Amino acid sequence: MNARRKKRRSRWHSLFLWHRYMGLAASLFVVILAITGLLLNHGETLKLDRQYVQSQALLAWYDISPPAPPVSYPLEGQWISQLGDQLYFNDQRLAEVKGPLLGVASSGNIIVIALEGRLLLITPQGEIIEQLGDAEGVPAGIQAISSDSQGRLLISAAHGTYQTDDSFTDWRPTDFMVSPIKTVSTPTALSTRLLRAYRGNGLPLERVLLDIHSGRILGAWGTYVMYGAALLLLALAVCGVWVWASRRRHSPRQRAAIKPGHVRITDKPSAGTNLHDTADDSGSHDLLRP
Amino acid sequence: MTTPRNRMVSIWVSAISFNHRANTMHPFIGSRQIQRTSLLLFCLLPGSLYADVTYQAPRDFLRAVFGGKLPPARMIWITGKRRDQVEKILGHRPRTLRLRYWARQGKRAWILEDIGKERLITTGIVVAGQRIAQMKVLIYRESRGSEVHYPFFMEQFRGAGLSTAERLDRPIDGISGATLSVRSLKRLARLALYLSRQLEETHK
Repeated sequence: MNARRKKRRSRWHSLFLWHRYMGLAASLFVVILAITGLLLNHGETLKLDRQYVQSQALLAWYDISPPAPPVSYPLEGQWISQLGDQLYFNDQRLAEVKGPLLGVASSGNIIVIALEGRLLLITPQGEIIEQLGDAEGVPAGIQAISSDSQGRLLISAAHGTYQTDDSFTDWRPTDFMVSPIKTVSTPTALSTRLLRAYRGNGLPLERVLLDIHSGRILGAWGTYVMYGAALLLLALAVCGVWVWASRRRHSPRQRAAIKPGHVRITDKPSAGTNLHDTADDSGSHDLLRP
Repeated sequence: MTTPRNRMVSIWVSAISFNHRANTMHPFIGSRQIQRTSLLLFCLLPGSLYADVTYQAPRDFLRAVFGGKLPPARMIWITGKRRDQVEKILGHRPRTLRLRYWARQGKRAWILEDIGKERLITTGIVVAGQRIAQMKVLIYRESRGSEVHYPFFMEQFRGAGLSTAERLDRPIDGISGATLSVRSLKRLARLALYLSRQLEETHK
C-alpha cells in the first residue's frame, strides 16, 4: 500500500516537474506571441504598415536590395533616378512606379518625368504637381520626351510625335524631333544615398512583427520552432488540467470524502444541519470543516 | 468582369468538377489531378494577390458621362487653406498640388485616387448640384476588398452631399473585409464634393 502511494506520488511529482519546465520554456513564446499579437491587433491605429525599419542589420537579414542598379537622368542640377520600383528626386522618394523610367524634360518651370502610361509633373523643389495619364489625353505608348525651344513638351509616342500647350491639356501631332536627355551613370555618393533610401522604405514594421509572430523571421526553421511552441502550450494546458485533477482526486480531504460511500463536503454549515455525522434522507453524510 | 477572386473560384470549381469525373468513389482524396490543380492554384495565388483590375478606363468613364466628346480638362490648385482642408478630409497630405476635372452642363467629373490599405484605388465621381450623381471604382489594385466596386455598394453614394465638418450627409454601410477600401471611397466622395463646392464658391 505504502509502495503504491510512493509510486503514485513520484508519478505526480514527475508530471508536476514536467509541467513546471514546460511552463518555463513556454513563457518566452507566450511573451513574444502576446506582445506581437497585441501590436498587430492595433496595427492600423499604430500605422505599423507605414513605419519602416531603419536598422541596417535587420534590412541585411531580410536581404532588402534593389533588383538592378539605379537609372539616373541629370536635369538642371538635379537628379531623377529610378531604383527598383521607386522613383527619386535626388534622394527624395517621389512615387512608386511600374515599368521603366522613360525620360525627363524641363517644360517652363516644371520638370516632366515620363513613365509607362503617364507623366509626372514636379516642381524644381521635387514636389509633385500632378500626374497625367490616359484620362488627361496623354498619347498612348510613350517612348521618349523632350522640350522645344519655347519650353513646350514634346512626346514621342506609339502613333507619332505630339506637342502640348503650357497647361498640358491639348496634345497635337507635330513634326518636331524629340531629342531626349540621355541617362548617365549615377554618381557613387548619390547611388549610396539612393540605396539607403530604398532600403529604408523597403521593410514595414508590420512585416517584421508578423514574421516574429509566426517565427518566419528565422526562416523555415522559425516556423517549426513556433509549431513546437504551439504544441508546448497545448501540452501545458493538458498537463495542467491533469495535474490539477489528479491532485484534487488524491488530496487527503478528497480521499477521506470518497471512502465511506457518498460523502459530501460543504464549506459552510447551512441552517438546520447537524455539525456531526448525520444521516440525511438520501443516506449521505455532511462532513463539516471546523 | 474577371476579378482575382472570381478567377480563383472558377479554378476551384473546374478542379472539383474535373475531379468528380476522374474519380467517382473518392472525389477529393487521392486524385493526382486535384493535387496538380491545387499546386497550380497555389502557384497562381501570389500572382493574383495584387493584380490591378480595371473595371473601366478613366477616359471611357469620362466619355460615358459626357456622351462621347469630352469637355476640356480644367484644373484646381490644392494650395493654402484648401490644402489644409483636403488634408483633413484625406487624413494625409494630398499627393499632388493640383487636380483636374471635366465640367459641362452642371456636371463635374473627377478622377480621384486614394490608398485603401496599401495601393491606390482609382475612382470616377460625378457631382451635380452639390450632390453625387455617379460614383464608380475604375481601377482596383488592393489584394482584398474588391467588393466595393459592385453597384449595390456604390449606389449608396448616389445623392449624397456634404453636411457639417465636410462629412457625408448619410451613412454608408460598410462591407466586412473591405473596411479600408470603404473608408477610402468615403474620403474620395467627400473630397469631390468639397472641391466642387470650392469651385462653386469661386465662380460666385
